[in-house]
Amino acid sequence: MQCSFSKASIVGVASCLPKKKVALKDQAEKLFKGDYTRISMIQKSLGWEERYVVDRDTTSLDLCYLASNHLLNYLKIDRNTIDGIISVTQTPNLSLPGNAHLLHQKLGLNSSCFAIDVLQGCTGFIYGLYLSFMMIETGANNILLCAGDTLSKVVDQTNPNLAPFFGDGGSATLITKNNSKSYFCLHSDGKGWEHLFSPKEDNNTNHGTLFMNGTQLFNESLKCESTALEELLKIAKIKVEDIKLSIFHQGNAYTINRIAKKIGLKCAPTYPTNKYANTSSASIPISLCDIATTFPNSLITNQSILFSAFGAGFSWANCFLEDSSFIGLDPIFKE
Amino acid sequence: MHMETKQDLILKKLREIFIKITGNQNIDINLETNMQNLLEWDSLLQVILIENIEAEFHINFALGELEGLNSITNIIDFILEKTK
Repeated sequence: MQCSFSKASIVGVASCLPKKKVALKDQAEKLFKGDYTRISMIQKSLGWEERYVVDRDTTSLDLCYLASNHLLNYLKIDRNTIDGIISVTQTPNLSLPGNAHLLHQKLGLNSSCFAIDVLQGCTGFIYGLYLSFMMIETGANNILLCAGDTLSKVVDQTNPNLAPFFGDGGSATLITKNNSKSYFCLHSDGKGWEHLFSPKEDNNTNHGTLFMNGTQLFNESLKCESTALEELLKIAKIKVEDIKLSIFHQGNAYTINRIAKKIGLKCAPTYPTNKYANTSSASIPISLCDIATTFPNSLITNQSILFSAFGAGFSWANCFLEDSSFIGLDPIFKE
Repeated sequence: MHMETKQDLILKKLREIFIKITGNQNIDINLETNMQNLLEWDSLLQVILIENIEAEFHINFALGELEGLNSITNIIDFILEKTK
């Protein structure tokens, strides 16, 4: 699906990470039998170095709540002006209701603000952004998009092929009415679901249930993403050199560099996996906060930005924001 | 006297790559080796392997070719084709 919007833009982004940081080298003995050669290869080729993981009691709701509160307080937003809250997570607190309603309560939003949940993984932020922009185009003034996951809780922490790959994080993004152009290309292929999934939890198996066929994901993401990006350039009627900032949510640095090379990307692609690992739907907003620290006053100004993601489903999504300006707050950490 | 063929030379280099990236000096890499029968050859190793093969042989695999790089014989065939 391809579409464009002209009345919505991001105002600000905040992110929250757990305090506990785990570096790949810290797990040399536990995961790699002390094989430092392999660790150095993994760091070099895959770009994984460290990640943040929650303790047993912290949830994706906690991380998104703290990020949201931080953002709304910083922007001095009257909470009564928020028309809708969207929560994107694959690790909600309850089976029902979803995190959007729990956040609605915790943030003190009023009853004219709707709350909806989106069960989407790595592409979740772009899908959430698409929904937010669509809602602004159809009448809403402010939408709060909360994207976050605690995948460390569903990943076997003794599996060297999975554990270092996933970290935890939460985010909040405020989207508002504004004359600004954006373009989206969204794709899914349900035939790929069995290559990355976590079965429904029960009382016996509530940890370590995520399955990932990494080779298949690697092959498919390379195949699908470069074509989809070329499609996005076409509908946005832009050249690749028009992209000034790009954030790729992909499994590893090698995949991102291959895609960037294939489409001839001129700006260096940013990938969140080196500092934060794969935080699922939170990875793009966390990266935005990280990048913002390199701009004066953390204001990302007049940037043409590309977001690109591939993940469970299969699902892949790309988005281009034209001439975009917003604030990215420094990541905060939950004690 | 046995003359080393191009295939032998590629296999020898592939063995060296596998030793380098796994750290296992005794790893058994032969024409029968594939992703199914070599324990170390998992999805992490696959990405690192492809990157090292591209650097060593100065080649680039096309996106559609990556799926086929799942056995030593397939990899040798691709390298032979690309270094003709």
